Amino acid sequence: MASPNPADLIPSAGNIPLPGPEWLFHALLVFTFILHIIPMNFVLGGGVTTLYAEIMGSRRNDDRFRRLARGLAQITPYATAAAITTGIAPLLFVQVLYGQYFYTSSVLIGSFWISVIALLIVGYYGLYRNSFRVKHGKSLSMWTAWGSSIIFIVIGFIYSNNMTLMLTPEKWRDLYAAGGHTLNLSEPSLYPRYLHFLVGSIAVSGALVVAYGLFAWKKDDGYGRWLVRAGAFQFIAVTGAQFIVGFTFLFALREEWRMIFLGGSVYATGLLLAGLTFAVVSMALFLIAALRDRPATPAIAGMIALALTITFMAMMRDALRRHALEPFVTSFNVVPQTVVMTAFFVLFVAALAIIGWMVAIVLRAGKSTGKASD
Amino acid sequence: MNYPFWEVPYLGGGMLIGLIATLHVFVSHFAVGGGLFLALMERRSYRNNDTELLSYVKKHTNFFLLLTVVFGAVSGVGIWFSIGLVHPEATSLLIRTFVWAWAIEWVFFAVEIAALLVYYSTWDKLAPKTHNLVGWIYFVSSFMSLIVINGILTFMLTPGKWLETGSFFDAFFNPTYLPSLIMRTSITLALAGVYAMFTGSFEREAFKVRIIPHASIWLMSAVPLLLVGLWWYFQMIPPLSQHIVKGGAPIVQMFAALSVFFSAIVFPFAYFLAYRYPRYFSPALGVLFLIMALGATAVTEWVREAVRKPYVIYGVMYSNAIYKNDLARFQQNGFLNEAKWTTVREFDPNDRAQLLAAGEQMFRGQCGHCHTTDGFNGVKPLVYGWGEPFLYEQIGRLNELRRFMPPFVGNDEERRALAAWLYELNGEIPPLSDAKGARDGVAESR
Ligand code: HEC
Repeated sequence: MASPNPADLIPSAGNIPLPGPEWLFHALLVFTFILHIIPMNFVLGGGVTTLYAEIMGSRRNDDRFRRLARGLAQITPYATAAAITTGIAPLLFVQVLYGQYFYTSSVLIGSFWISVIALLIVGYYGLYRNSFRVKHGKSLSMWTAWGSSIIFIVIGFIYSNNMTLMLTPEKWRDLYAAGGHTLNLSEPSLYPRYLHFLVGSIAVSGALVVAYGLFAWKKDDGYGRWLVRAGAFQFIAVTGAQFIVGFTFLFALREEWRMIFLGGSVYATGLLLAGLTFAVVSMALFLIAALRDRPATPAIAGMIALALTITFMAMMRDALRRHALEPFVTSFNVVPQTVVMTAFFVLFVAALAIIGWMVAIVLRAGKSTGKASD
Repeated sequence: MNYPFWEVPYLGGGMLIGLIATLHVFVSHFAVGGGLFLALMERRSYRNNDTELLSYVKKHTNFFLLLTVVFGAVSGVGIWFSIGLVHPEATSLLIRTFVWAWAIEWVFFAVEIAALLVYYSTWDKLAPKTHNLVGWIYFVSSFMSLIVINGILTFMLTPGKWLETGSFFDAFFNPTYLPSLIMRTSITLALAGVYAMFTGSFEREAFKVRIIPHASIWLMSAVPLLLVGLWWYFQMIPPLSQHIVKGGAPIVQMFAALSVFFSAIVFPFAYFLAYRYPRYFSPALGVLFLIMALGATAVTEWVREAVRKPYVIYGVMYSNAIYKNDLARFQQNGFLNEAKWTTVREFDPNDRAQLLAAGEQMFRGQCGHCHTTDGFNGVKPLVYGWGEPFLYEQIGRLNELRRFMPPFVGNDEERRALAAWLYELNGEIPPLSDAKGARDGVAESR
């Protein structure tokens, strides 16, 4: 644009006050993002694992793999519903706090950004197609399974693009000249960041397979044991690889961003250490689960450790964003809408109770009728 | 140009939003009314021990789930994506004002989705009473999310007392809140009927003659409610909006008439084709009703958007993202001077290339939200044959020329730049485009 300073391009956020305390929106943003990333990992990694299991099933002529593929094919549509539903909230809160960056980067990759919607509809229907095929005793459609997986992988890439682009106003000028029909491909940290997320999804799906195994155990302990092992080893191996990818990502970050995690900020460094620690703990716990005859306790403990790792990683992501935008951020004028805000929290708790009740009756019904979930 | 401009070739951003929104409304309103239909029909089938009805309700649930959970939910996110891209400035204002309302809507939405997934996957697994209760939870939460979103949608046309107070409740319970809620509620009922007629049309004849008339009653009983809502809504919208509908913009008038026409004609159609002679109600007729309902939704949504012009948020922000309060400042300091996202700021008006480049930026910033160059509402054909001085004149009174256009803002040089750029779109054209007419003209002058 006409002037060279990137800060000049950052839109003014208007003069409508922030309707609640800033820290609260931050907390909600991080919290709901964690709620979102877990089912989203199930969708992406679960889709890839479905494919892998189906392929292994026919290669080795091993029915356990095929059963796993069919089971996952029935779970992923539900995971997608959860990922979309929980994804709406962070999308809302990021706009409240960072609208001027987020809208701008979205516009700059506009045609890709809007294509997410069409892709999501197609990929989601693909998952349902396979789920219905399984229900009616047919085999999975490999075409559809590949199609959906690739679509979700592409959607993730577009998201990574937008999330990195919103942090780098200095890139905006050149992209604008391209008119909204290009991605932020010149960002060096984009690729390891995206890979970090892909690998994480596959690891987390390993934990999903373990959970599935714990459920299957009651009906068929041989199959359940196999699932727990397969899932645990998937988790351990992929998380091991994730250490390499993660550090590559860290070192692909520009120095002034990286340094906050390497001593520059006690908070950010603490998050990294905590995240790494819990990752190692979860690997150990999953290993114990894989080796034991009664794996439930170590497996569940491993999942809790994994959830903590994800929490710390999400907080790191937030810390990075805050740090990157710190030079540009202006302070908010806050005028809380106390009544509506309170209504939200009350309804949120009520909703959790209702959803919890519904999940409980489903689980109870599953137990009493003994109907197999695959 | 506080934000970069996203160009949607041929269609224009507004049209893109309209397309996504129409499809979304068509499914999401069904998601509400259809929920009531499911819960009521399930209850009735238990009470009367009606296994035939129950098996239809189960089939209808599958269809309902696939349509609403996938298409309905994702297209709703699509509206968000598209308004953020096309109207970032307005979206930002809405988000800041209504974030808690949206958060509440999200809570209802989450319950809605969870309830529907449970409902769909636990037929035969839960006790009938419990299963039916889940259906009611679904319906109530989906209706609550409509109640919430309605406040945000209506705010854009009638911000009411919020303009002075800035208070959330004034913004939310604005003058068109109630009439719009009546309209939307009636649409949910009508669509529940239309979709049930569609799925019912695939049933065996013995059951068809029961379900089709029943579904058509849902549709027919919604029509009077819709007309009352429409009439009341019309009383509450701003005078300029009323003027636009009454003929200030012929195409809007035509569409508004179509909207009423579609809604009214559906009544006799439903009565004769479905209520009286359900036996002959084929899937093709089911599709015909769906198309009529989609047509009615499309024109109604289109009119609803059109009457808000020249504003995106009435009385506050024009459709081109310019705050009404900023007009005077832009007029004085120049529009490009104040713009963040422009490739041209200062230019030499005597250098034609610079002038045109500035003109293009002016078009992007002030006209591109409503006009494309060549495609939908393309400006090129609109200014065909206009000379540069005439263009310069007209640009100064766009808001009088067509009252639903915002006024041009900028200094005199910028006005010249825009006129030059618009002129060059068509370039020099023969004095009379028709070759024969031109020859006749020449013959006469001899
Ligand atoms: C709020 C949306 C909106 C904005 C912003 C807008 N227009 Fe229009 N304009 C319209 C509509 C709608 C029409 C009617 C088109 C028709 O009659 O088919 C129109 C018509 C016109 C016409 C034809 C008028 C006539 O009498 O034939 C011209 C010329 C025009 N616009 C130029 C512009 C220019 C230049 C700008 C930018 C400074 C602009 N418009 C901004 C919506 C808009």
